[in-house]
Order: sequence, then structure tokens, then C-alpha cells
Amino acid sequence: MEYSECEKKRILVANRGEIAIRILKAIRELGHTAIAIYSDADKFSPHLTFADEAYYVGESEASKSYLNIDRIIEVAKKNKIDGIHPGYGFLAENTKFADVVKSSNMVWVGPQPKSMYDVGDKIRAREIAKSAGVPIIPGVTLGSNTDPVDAAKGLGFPILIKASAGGGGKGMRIVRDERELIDNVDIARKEAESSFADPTIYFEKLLEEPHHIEIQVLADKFGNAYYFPERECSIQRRYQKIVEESPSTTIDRMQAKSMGEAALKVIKEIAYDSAGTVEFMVDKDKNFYFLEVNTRIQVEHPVTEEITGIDLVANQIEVAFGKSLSFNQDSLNIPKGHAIEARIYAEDPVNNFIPSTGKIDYYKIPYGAGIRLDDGACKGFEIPIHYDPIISKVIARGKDRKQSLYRLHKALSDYHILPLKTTISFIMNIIKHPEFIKGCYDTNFINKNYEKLFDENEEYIPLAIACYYYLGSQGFSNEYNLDGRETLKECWQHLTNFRG
Amino acid sequence: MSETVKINNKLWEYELDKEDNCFIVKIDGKVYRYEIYMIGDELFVKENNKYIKISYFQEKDGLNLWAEDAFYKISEESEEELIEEESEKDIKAPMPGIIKEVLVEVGQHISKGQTVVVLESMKMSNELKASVDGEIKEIFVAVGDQVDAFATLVRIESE
Amino acid sequence: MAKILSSINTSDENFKKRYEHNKELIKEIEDIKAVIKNGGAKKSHEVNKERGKLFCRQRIEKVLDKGSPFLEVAPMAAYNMYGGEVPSAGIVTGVGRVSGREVMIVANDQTVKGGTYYPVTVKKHIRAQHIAMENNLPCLYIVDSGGAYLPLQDGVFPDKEHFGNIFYNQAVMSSKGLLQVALVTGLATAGGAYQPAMCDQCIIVKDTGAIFIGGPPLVKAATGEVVDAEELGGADVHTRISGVADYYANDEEAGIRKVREIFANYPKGEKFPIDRVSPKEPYYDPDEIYGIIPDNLEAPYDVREIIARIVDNSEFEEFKARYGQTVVAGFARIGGYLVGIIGNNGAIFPESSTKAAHFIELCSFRKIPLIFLQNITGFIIGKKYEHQGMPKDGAKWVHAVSTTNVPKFTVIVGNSYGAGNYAMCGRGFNPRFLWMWPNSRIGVMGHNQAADVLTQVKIKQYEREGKTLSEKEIENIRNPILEDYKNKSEALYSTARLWDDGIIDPAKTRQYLMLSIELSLNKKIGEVNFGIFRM
Repeated sequence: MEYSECEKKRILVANRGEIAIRILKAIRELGHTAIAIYSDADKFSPHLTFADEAYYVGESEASKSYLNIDRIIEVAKKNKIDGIHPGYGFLAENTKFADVVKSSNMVWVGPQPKSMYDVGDKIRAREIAKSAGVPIIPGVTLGSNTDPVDAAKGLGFPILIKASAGGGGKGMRIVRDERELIDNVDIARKEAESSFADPTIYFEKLLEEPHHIEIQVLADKFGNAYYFPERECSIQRRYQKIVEESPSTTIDRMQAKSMGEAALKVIKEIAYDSAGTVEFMVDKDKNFYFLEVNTRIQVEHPVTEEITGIDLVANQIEVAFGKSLSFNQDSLNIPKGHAIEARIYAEDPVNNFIPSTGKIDYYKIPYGAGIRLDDGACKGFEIPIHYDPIISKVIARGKDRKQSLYRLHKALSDYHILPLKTTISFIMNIIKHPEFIKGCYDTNFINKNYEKLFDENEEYIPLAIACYYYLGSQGFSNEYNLDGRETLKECWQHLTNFRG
Repeated sequence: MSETVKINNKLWEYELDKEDNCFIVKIDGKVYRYEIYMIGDELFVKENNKYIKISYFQEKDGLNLWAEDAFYKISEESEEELIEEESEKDIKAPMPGIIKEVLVEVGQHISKGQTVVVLESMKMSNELKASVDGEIKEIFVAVGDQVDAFATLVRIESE
Repeated sequence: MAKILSSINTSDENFKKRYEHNKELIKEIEDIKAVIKNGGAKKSHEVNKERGKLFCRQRIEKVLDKGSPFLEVAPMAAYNMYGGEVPSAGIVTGVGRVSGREVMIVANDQTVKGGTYYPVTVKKHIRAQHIAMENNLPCLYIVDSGGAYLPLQDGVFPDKEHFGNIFYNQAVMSSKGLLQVALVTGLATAGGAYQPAMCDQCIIVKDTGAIFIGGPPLVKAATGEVVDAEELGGADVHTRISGVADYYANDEEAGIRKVREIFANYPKGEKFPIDRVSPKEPYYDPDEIYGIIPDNLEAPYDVREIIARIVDNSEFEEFKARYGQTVVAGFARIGGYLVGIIGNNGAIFPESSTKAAHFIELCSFRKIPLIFLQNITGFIIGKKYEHQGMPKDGAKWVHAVSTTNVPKFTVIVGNSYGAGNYAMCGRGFNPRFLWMWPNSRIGVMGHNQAADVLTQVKIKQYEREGKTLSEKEIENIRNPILEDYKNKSEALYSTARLWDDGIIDPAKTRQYLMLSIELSLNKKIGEVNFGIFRM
């Protein structure tokens, strides 16, 4: 799409890694000018090569660069930026940042700050949902006069203590009886204070066999809002999503419609005008309850894009610059096929998922029909320690769930990253698990099957041994000495087991 | 000849023979035959009527191999740890000195690490400890005795 | 470099005949080797096993790095000597890798006459030490010997390169920084006690290892003192009281682990850098060598066909191909290493001698190791050549071979008669290693020639006494001489007496050369230093 020079917008992406690449591509595909920012650790990051201009914003530490509002605004003003897209994480849900962007006469690619504020506080969000007529998880806010024990008993154990200002799965504790409750209440308050600067906590009833199902929404500034087919995100480890799929195997299209409409009610209640997600919990009886609203584009947005064919990021940008939407809601709710996403983190599952950083020496990516790889790494790139260790997302689309499962499995088999440890094998074990294949899993899946997810595939051991021997005897396969130079193998090493 | 190799931190015992282009691997009594060829920078393997492509990457500490959906890190088993020398059971004086304390009695059961005798030498106290769990069989010294280096002070029978 | 163009036709009748014949020959050798590798009497093995003692070859396998080659030196020493009762001369010697470095290992075979030293045993032990000294290899002695074999002590004790020389060599090697390690797994008695004592570091195994100048019987006889082997000179005594040994091993496995640890903590040192590229297998199949070697050693064959089946990619850059054509000289690569090869295609002429000397000069200045493929019956004779000064030109060659600075490796691939042996770097010219092919022969002259000469002498003798001999009588004089010479020029006769470092499988010549060239690089190649060439 060709714009004239004055129509071409200069849009800055206040983020890094795979999501920065995603957004920078969308900006250029719309015909606008894409601007990237980077810190010291990212000075050779691939995301810079997807931008038309790239500007330095500070030292590697996030607080000095990607979270540095003043610095980013300074760079934006100096370079005549028309709009800023915050991505996810970092400043994406920071109302102060959104305010500053707007007051600097730049377009904020996100919802109006007031709606961010309204649902940024979990307790307030619950109230809003309630008044919009959307069911919420039975819960109790802990005011200064509330007796925790009474409140808990009123709900019924087990309960979840949550921080009102928390989110993204952080700041939550499960308590199963009175004693545990008394032990944890004060600690939870203190944690909330230190992590989120707000000690307010509330109790939520813990659901049985719960599913985390969320609804992607997209709204414009003209009051039009749409919901998309749901995403099932119940595969979580410590409340972090690992595998997401759409549509869900738990609910049918009718229920999806009810949930979608409920999501829209919440959206309209806060006059939301961008892309966002309304998260629900669904219990074993298929009742759904409002959980929270994410006022940003999410990590797992590609899943929805793959089964609808709609570019959410591009729409989000266009909506921010004043485009109005006109989709057909009914046909939107009909998914075109099935999609599953696997989030690949640079973590070592065997060692308690500690981050595995360092330079990538070997990088082989999967490809083929139905495979989408949103990655932010390449061979030779050094994964920094300062940020979230997400390397990429692998999304497999198919005409049905079976085909996408097969394609995802093949893609993960073909995705080779060394020498870092990644979650690739761990995820392969997840999607190979009989419960996952059947589509019968809830948010306890990982905890329940933890041991089994570390199983090693020993099927090809004899083959591996034969290849090892073949390569060893193949000839002088070259070796690398300590400073990386290639050396020739010595005859004394090559003539293995020679007896003369 | 049986060989051992370490794959993903587990040791595997195998026998390997080569016949022309065919590699024959025997593990746990099962026999596998593979024909292996190098095509470009990957391996092309034929097992009966199945063809598998293997990617590999050699690192200093081992060979990384991807076969279908499995990943293996293969290396030689590392040298075994040196086993500790069999330690002397009896309590012997490490150097000449004077017996300062005898903390046990004949027939007493003692555990490994328990102090049995205190020897004073060169103005320093040495606590002589039992190296095994056992029973005090004989005590050859009394407090105040002067002893030579390597003299046996207490006999211990291990359990 | 250009590939050698082979004209061998592998479907030729002659080829097939020769192939079978040579395969048979090597099989005979391998069969003999297999028997020899079993060591001594079965009973000795059993007794040792009860005592927790491993067989000497097992000890070597365990001490070597996983997958390490083992280049054995003279495995068939003492073959058919001493009544055939001393297989491998009762001692196993060879080079293998221990903790990443090449080490010369000398292990007594206690199952053969208690590991006692026969004359050939001493010769083999000292040959191993010489190889270590010439190539800067550290040494590992796995000691398990009863000392000198007393009935033959006059061939074991008094002379220059007899038993005492072993300890002299240990001290000299140690002074040159070559680690000397002993693992005492059995007896080290009388003079033998000096083997561990003279080492840099020494390990002794509990219950079976014992070091003493005089054993229990001698002690009792001398002073009446009654004491058992363990208390006289066992592991505990020597590691705690006397300090003769440095490490105490609970069993042989522990001792072997300790040896590996000692070598691992010894600085590895760099190999002398010579020109090397990525190696390639020969273009022609080495297996074809069996079909090339004639079954009758009088028949000639082109040594280039052998070269083509030894060198990388069969590539050979021939030097002076049109001159002195009875000697073939040129550059090639073996295992990637650039080497100079000299081979024979007939008798040596003055031209071939000067060509060879020139080539040796080239290699010496460029620090290129030399390989000699010997198949020589002698220098050309006749008035023309004597007047041309054959000995002068021959001397140039022999001088170059003697004083060159580069390591030399000789493989006798056919005949090795007379002065030809000298020019082609025979044993007396100190190649780092010298091997023979099963079909090869060595002697001052061919057996037929020798028989003829000696028979003539005998005939003349009888004629002086007035007797004339009949055909049959001449036969009867000639045949025993012929048989005797044949016998004494065979490869097996030679290898038994350590006139070579072993009989090798012709098809494996390449591997032997690869390993020995590489291990020779542990020693620096010095500067060129020729003496006077008689011009």
C-alpha cells in the first residue's frame, strides 16, 4: 500500500526480540516507516534489521532502556515519531507511559489510558465485569476490616490469595485450610506491596479442573468491537503459559459465543478501543467466570491470526490511527481450521527451568506448510540475561486439530538450537502426552504429569550409536580447539583401536 | 567387544560391527542394522525400508544428534573417580608424641569419625579418629605414654 | 600432485594367483601371532587369575585410552628360538596412547617362564627404550618378572646392551625429561628392583607387587632371617616405610587408574610441526597389494603400484622420473603429512645413487620425513660401472642416509640383500621403525647366489684333493646350504631376532606409517648437518 509522504506514519516499537520483529514487519507491511530501539545488549539483535531506523535508548538493564520512559520519549520526540507501539511486557500496560505518549502528541497504539487504568486493578476489573453482567469467580476483597478467616470460610476452601495490582500470573498463593491461610495472608500483603506497590489483596475461590480460556477482542475508536474464537491456554507452568491452541477442545461454538458476548460486554463497559484479551476461567461444569483483562497485544496472538486469517497487529495499528472496523461477527466465530502455539524459552527444564543464556552456535529452523515461526534470534546471536528468555514461538496450523498437532510435532523435531538449553523437548513431551492428544487437560496438567514430561525418547538410541560411530570413523572430521580454530585430527586419534 | 557410551547423561552398553556399508548395533540382545551415508552436512540413514535424515553438530564435549523427534548428546563415558585407598582401621600415631587422652574402652562400639585418642605432639593436640564403624578390640596405650611414629595405639575391628 | 596411473588389472589370472598366495602368507603370520598373543601355559594364566593378576596384554588394554591404537614392536620376537617356549620373548612392547599422549609400554609376560629375561627379551626391552629415546616418548614399565633367565645369563648380563643397559637408558631418558613410570604388578627382584627404583614415579600393587634386592629364599640362606615376600618388600613396606615406591594400589585396576592419572598430569608437549593437510584415503584399494607382490621374488614389479596404495589419494610427485630409473623417488602425503618416498625398481646404478642422494638432500633441508620401500638385490657390477665409480656414488647415497636430520622409516617389501640394504636405510642406519612384509627376505646375498658360491668353494676344495663330484653329490652339498640360507633369510627368522620391528600386513602399511610418522614428531627435527660427500 503506497502512501504519500505526508500520509506515511513514523511508528516506533518500544520493545525487542520476537515481538518487536512482529510489529516492525506489520508497520512496514502497512506502508509506514518502522523505527526500532535497542539497548547495549541488543546492539546486534536481529530486530534492528527489520526497521527503517534504529535508535539507542540505554544500558542493558531494562530499567535503563526498555523501561526508561523519559529516554524513549526523548528519542521519539527527537525523531519526529508519530506513534508508539509498546508490544507486550515492558511498558505495554503502563498507564503513565500511555499518558505521556498521548500528551506528547503521539498516537498510542493501545487502548485509551483510562480503560487500562480501569482494569489494571484486578479488584476494580472484577467490579466492572460484575456490573457488566458477566459472571466473576466467587471472591472477597480484603479491606482493612475484613476478617480473613471469615471471608475464606464464606467462600469455601481451597482459595487463591491474589494481589489486586498483580497480573500475568504473578502474586498468587493457594491456601487449603485455615492454618495455611493465617500463615500466608500477611506475607501475601507484603509481597504485593514490594512487587506491585499496592498491598491490596483479594480472595478467589479455587475452581476444580479449571481451564484458562481467553477471548481475543478488537475494538476501534468508533464503538465497534468484535470477539474472535477463543484460545485455550491451560498448559501453564507456575501460571506461565507454554502451549496455547484455538479453538478450545473444552467448549463448543455456542459456549464460545456466550463467552465472546460476555467479553464484549466488559469491553464496552470500559470503552476499550484497541486489541486486547478478556481472560476467563472455565470449571468442570463448563461455567465460565471472568478473570481479568489484558490491555495489550499478547504473546499468543498468532494462534488467533492463523485460524481467522486476520492480522491483529496491523489492525491494532490502523485502529490507533483512526480506521474503523467492520467484520462479520458470526463468521468470525467460525474458526478456519485449528492452530497450536508452543512458546520456546531459553530455559533448562532439567535444572528447574533456570535461564540458559549465551551465544547460539547452531540454529536450524522448521519450515513447511502450516508452520509459522515468530523468532527473535539467529545463529551467532547472544541471548541476554537481562530480559525475559523467550526465544520464539512456533505456531502450527492445520485443517483440524490432528493435522496441527502433527505439524507442530514435526516442527519442534526440526527446530535445533545449540548450545543453549531450551524448552523444546519439554514441550514435545507435552504434546505427545495422551491427555493432550485427547484434548482433555486443565490447568493442573503440568503439575499432574510433571515427571512424565521429562521422559527421554530412547527409540533412536541404536541409530544414534551407529551414527556416532560412523562420524567418528568417517575420516578426520575436523575438530575445534579452544580458540575456535579448526584443527586436523591426529592419526593417533583417527586409527581407533588399530592393533599391529 | 562390548563398548559403553554416554548418551544424555545415561550410560549405554552396546556392540558394534561393520559389514561393508552396514552398521550393526546390538543392545540388550536386540540387533539393529543401518546403512549410513553422508549427504551434504547431514546423514542419510536407511533401516530396512525406512529412511531417516540425521542432523548433527559436533561440540567440544560431545556430538549432538537429532533423529526424528529425539535429541541425543553423545560422548565417551568419563574417567571413573579414583577410589579411595582402603584406610587403616587401627589407630596409629601419625608422629611421635604423648598420649593426652584415651576416650574409649575395650568392647566399646564406635562410629566412623569418632575421636578415639588424643595425641599431643609439638605442642599441638591431634585428635585421632576412627575411620570405620566398629568395636574397640585392644588399647595398647595409657595417658602419659610416649609413642613413636606409626605405633599402633588402638585396635579396631570393623563391623 | 598427480595421481599415479595404475596398470594393474585385478581380473588378470596372475593377479588372482598372487592375491591368493599373499593372502595365505599373511594368514600364516596372523595365525602365528594369534597363538603368540596367548602368552604362556594355560596353568600360569589360571594361577595368576586366582591371585587377582591380569594378563600382561589385558593390563596394556586397560591402561590405553579408549580407542587408542597400539603399535606393537616385534610381537614375534624369539619365534622358534629357545625350543619355541618363549612366545614374544616373554615381554610385550609397543606404543599406545595413555591420557592423550603416545607412550612406550614395556610389559613383562609373567606367564612365560615367570617373565624371566632371555637374551632376546633383553634385546627387545632395549629396542623399545631406543625407540622411546629416538622419538621422545615417555615410558611405562609394567613390571612382573623373575629377573634374568639364569641358564642363559651369559647372553643376558655382561655385555654392553644387556640387562644393565636397561637402567642406564631409564636414567638417561629421565634426564631428558621423558617420564619413566613403573607399575609393579609382580616381582621386581635382584637387579630388576632397579626398574621401579630408577623410575620417576612408581606404583606398587598390594599383595602381588614386590620389590627386593634379595627375595625370601636368598635372605634365609644369607642371614637365616625368615620373612615373607609381602613383609620383605610388599606394597605397604615400600609406600609407607622405605619410600621406594610412590603409590599404593589396592588392586591392578586401581594401579592402572593411577598410571593414567600420572600421565594426565604430565605436560603433553607440542609435536614438531611439519607440512600437513587434510588426509585422504588412497585412490587405489590397498587390498590390491596382495595381488601385486609376485609369488616369486626374482620377478620384478613396479614399486609405484605399491606407493599408489599407501599414499593419500594415490598422489605422487615424482622426482627425476627420467633419470636413474631404477630408483623411484618423489613426494607424497601419508595421513596428510608431506613425506619423501624412495623405492627400488631394479639394481642400483650410479645415476640412481646420485638421484637418491640429491632427493635426500631436498627432504633434509625441507624437514620432510623419509620413507624407504626396500626391494633391492644389490648394486650393478661390471667394468663400466666400477670405472664410473659406483662405490663413490653409492657412498654419496649411504652418507646422505646416515647423516640426514629427518626421521626415516623403512619397510622391506621384497628383497634386502647386500649393500643395497645400506643405501635403502637398513637396520644399521637407524630408521625410527623398520618393518618387513611376510614375503620379504634379508641376507648378505640371495640364497641361490650364496648356495652357488659356497658350493663352488666346496667343489674347488674337492678338486684340489683330486676328487670330482657327481651331479647328485653336488646337489647334496648345495641343498642343505640352500635350505639353511633360505631359512636364515626369511622374515620370520629376522623378526624373531629383532632384526626388524615386526612383520606387518602389506595392506596395512599405510596405517603403520601414519602412526609412526606422527609419533616421531614428538622429537624436533634438527638442522641439516651432512659430512663430506665423496664427489
